[in-house]
Amino acid sequence: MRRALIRLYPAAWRARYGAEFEALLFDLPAGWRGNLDVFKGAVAMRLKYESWRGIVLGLMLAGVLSGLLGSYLIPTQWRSTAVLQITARRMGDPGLNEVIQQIQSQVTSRQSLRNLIRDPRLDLYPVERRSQPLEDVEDEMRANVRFQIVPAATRNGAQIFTITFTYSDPKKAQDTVNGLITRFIAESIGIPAGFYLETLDPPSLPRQPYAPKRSAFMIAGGVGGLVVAAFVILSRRRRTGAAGQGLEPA
Amino acid sequence: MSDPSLLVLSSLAEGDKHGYLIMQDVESFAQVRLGPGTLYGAITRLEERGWIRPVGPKDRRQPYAITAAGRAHLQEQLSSMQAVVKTGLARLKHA
Repeated sequence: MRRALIRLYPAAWRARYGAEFEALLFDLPAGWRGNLDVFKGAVAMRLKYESWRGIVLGLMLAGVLSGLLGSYLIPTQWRSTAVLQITARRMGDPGLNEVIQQIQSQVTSRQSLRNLIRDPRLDLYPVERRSQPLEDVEDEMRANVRFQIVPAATRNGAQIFTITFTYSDPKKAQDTVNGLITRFIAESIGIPAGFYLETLDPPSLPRQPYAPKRSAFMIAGGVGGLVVAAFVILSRRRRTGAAGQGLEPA
Repeated sequence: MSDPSLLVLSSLAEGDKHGYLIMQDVESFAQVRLGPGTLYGAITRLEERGWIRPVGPKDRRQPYAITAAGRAHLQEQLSSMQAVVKTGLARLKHA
């Protein structure tokens, strides 16, 4: 373990101090504090003596790994989508887009969402409901419900649209979209203009997580590492400009 | 005082020591436990600046000695700290 830690130091530094440093480590009792201190020392020496290419590659790699690890700290979200088609019974009835928006506002009303959240078969947001007012939980759910009209899919008096819901459980996301469709049908009964509603694609059971996007986290981490590397290289140049170095960078 | 470089210089001002003895000495007079990575980071910086130098036969336990430039630097730093300590204590007394 100690020899492995020493190998984290730059070769030029090890050539000068490696043997005596190893002797010191073998004089000390083993412990995580000492190992952490050696690791921190190795990082500091790498930043001091590594070539600029090594610093850029090392910090970018560290950034990518940090991004990947960080993405696992964010709860996984799943998105279920259903595709529906609404068709006017008679030509000349009010626009279908307006009808969809009118029903959508009723489906996503506080009372409607509250009923879905409290539905014992769904039991949505149990943790949030214990710590937040129900109004906040309803707002959170509304942000995760999406009605989207498919613009290019209007023909013969029909309009295709999608209903999606994003949640931490894939099965509940699917069941909730089913619940939203049921409510959509129930609310549509009150609309005077006649139309048909057809489910083209039933709510999907998501197989892949919708979020977090691990690749985006890794790219952001890599870019962050690059920025840090630029700062380190610039500050090192400023320092070495002011005072000479005892060891040649590797 | 927790600057590792000043702690190492203060330890070597008493006489030549290798890394393990420096750690023990610093802990006894400053109650600061220097980690091995921190100690050798300080030793690297101090040797680069010419404030310490390796002495004696090249051994696995390499002793170091403070140089004249190192003594001058330590003197300057400690005098500056002493002035701050003296002023602070005097102001506390009159507050």
